[in-house]
Amino acid sequence: MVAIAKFYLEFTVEESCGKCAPCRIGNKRLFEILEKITEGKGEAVDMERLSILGNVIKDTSLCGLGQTSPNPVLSSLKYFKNEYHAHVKEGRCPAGQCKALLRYVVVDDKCTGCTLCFRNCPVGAISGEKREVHFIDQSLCIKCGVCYEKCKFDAILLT
Amino acid sequence: MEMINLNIDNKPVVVLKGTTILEAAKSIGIHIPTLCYMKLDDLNIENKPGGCRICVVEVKGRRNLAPACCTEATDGMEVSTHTIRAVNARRTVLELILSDHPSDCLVCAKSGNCDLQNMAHRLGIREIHYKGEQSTYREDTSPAIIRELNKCILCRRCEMMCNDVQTVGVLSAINRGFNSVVSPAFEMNLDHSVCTYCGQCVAVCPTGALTEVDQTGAVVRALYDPTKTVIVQTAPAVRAALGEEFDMDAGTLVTGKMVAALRRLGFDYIFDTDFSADLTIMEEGTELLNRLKRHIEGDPTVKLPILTSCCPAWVKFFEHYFPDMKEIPSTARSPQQMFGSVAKTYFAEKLGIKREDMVVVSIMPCLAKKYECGRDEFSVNGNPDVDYALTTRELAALIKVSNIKFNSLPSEEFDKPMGESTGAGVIFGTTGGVIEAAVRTAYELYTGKELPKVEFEELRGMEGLRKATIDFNGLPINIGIAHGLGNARKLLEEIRSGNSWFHAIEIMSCPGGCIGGGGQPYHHGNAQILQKRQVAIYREDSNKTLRKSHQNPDIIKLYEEFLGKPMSHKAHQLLHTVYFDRTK
Repeated sequence: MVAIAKFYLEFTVEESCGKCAPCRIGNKRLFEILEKITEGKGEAVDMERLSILGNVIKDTSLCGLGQTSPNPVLSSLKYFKNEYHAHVKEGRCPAGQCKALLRYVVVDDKCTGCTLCFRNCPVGAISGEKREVHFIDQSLCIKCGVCYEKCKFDAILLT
Repeated sequence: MEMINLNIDNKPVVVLKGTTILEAAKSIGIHIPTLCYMKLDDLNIENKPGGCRICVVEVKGRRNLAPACCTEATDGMEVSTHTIRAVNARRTVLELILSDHPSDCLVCAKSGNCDLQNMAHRLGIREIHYKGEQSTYREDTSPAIIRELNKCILCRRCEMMCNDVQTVGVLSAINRGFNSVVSPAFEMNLDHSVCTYCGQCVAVCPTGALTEVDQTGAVVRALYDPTKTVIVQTAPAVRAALGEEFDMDAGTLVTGKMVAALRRLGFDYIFDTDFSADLTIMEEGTELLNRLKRHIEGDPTVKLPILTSCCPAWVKFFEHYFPDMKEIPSTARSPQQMFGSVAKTYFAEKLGIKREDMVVVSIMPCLAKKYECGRDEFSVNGNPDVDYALTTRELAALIKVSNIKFNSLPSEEFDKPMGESTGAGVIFGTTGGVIEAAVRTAYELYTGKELPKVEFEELRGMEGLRKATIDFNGLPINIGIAHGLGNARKLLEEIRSGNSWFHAIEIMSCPGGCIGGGGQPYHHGNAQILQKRQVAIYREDSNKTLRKSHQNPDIIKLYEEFLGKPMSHKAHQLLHTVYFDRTK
């Protein structure tokens, strides 16, 4: 839901006419904070900032665009607070939307060492010998999901 | 006229229907903070785009906050200007504006005079909680005006002045959203546009986005160059406003202190542009009478009305928009240029120095003068008649950095032989002054009689378009006066369509005339300051013993020793000019 709020903000930032300061600059700042959160760099204080800023933009904008553009942010903060918490406090995206927060991990007790994932990884992020538990290097992984698709043993976990 | 009753901060107030909440609050002493809003009373100039959202207030029964500057007060309305909700909103919006503004205060030309800086101070901003991407745009430098769009807050004041008041039409907001920027068409640089450099955009800009080109460095280098003789001339409008930069009340005349300060700065000769204003009257007055004589004699080729030509922003406006009428303005140069031309010939000869070793600096209330001194036709063999034109603001800054205690300076006199002036020369600084000065001389030259009264109240005032008929001993002369280029345009269109009633028209680009020039101390939207400066100019005139240009003994000597007579061949060479078609 965080990603959805960001999607709507991206639209309104583009559509803003630019005449009044709260919408022109405020919506941009709301979007920047959401970008920060979906990239895994969010801080706890960002949720409060989103709320205060969103309400001021609603209260002071010149036209209906600015008066309603913070709504996706404010209502998702209200009804999906747990998702924001997960992003900001746990570094996790429960909806599986935010690529930066996704991790593909090998489940040790299911891996048979068939090397199928190792052979299909486009960036060589997976290491492991035949019949030995494989390992995904998170710093190289580009989250393309090919290993997840190829594994026949459900040994890759998306988290 | 219907009156309405409302409550602001629990205080009752009665106003005319149609009054805004901002005006209603002001009438009972409640000053709601504003940023983009600007009103110059008496001049009919108002900017209220309702864009900054700083003046928002709470209105009972209204879902969101209302912008006080553009919301009409209604009967029974209950307004709260300083609730925690309104104050929090105001401060958050200001933080947003500051988050998109460079942190240049320490080195910005506007520091200490900046409406944005003042607002941040007033609202007690200590931290900007919403940092992020900042708008960037290339810097645009021209002969007179510098545009630093990174500092623009999109208040639209410059756009309003340029389009609605001056009708030059150079500046407009383009693009959309966060990428909005104020720019000439096709994002061209100012020096390629029809900008007249009137500087009214600079005069109203609340931040350092629009400032003047600073030539004080070049002037200081000349002052410390032992091979150069540095002459300074001071425009009439400067002496009525310079004091404001030193905390004096608007309308304080500081002529004597100004001369003393210039002497202490190291200028070799302190002269007065009022002297060359008298000279301009001699030339232009003679030109006016020549045209009138031909008109009376029935010459069909004569061009009337004659238009004054001392305002360079007006001349450039004319060259862009009305080049088909190039033969109509007077051919006389401006006082600044006449001064330079005479200084580098007549005075250089007297001193026995070459013109290349003389540096002429002018102190002007104007930005267009910086452009004017760079015009090709105003130089001889590449050496300009006037080298630098400093604004009143630049002079004040130079005085301050030189540690001169302006307020306790004694009153000193201008040097001779280009420092003497009559009251007619002084009134050039205000709207109506140039034509009144011309009438004082033209009347006496034409009729051969002495004027019963020197003051022509019918030519004075602040309205943008004025007219009067002066009786030249039985011959009625119709005079038109316009200040603000929008008003000038109206008169010119009348001339173009053959419907002009006037014999002579005075045109000034800036509101109030030169006293309201783009280089004067900032008025921050207070039009009363312009009124007070105007009063000061007429007071300086009435305090002088000589009131008519043709009575100036140093001018008489200049003609006897050097020029011959008005409109002589030499006068034509040095003191007259031609105009150019600037449409591409």
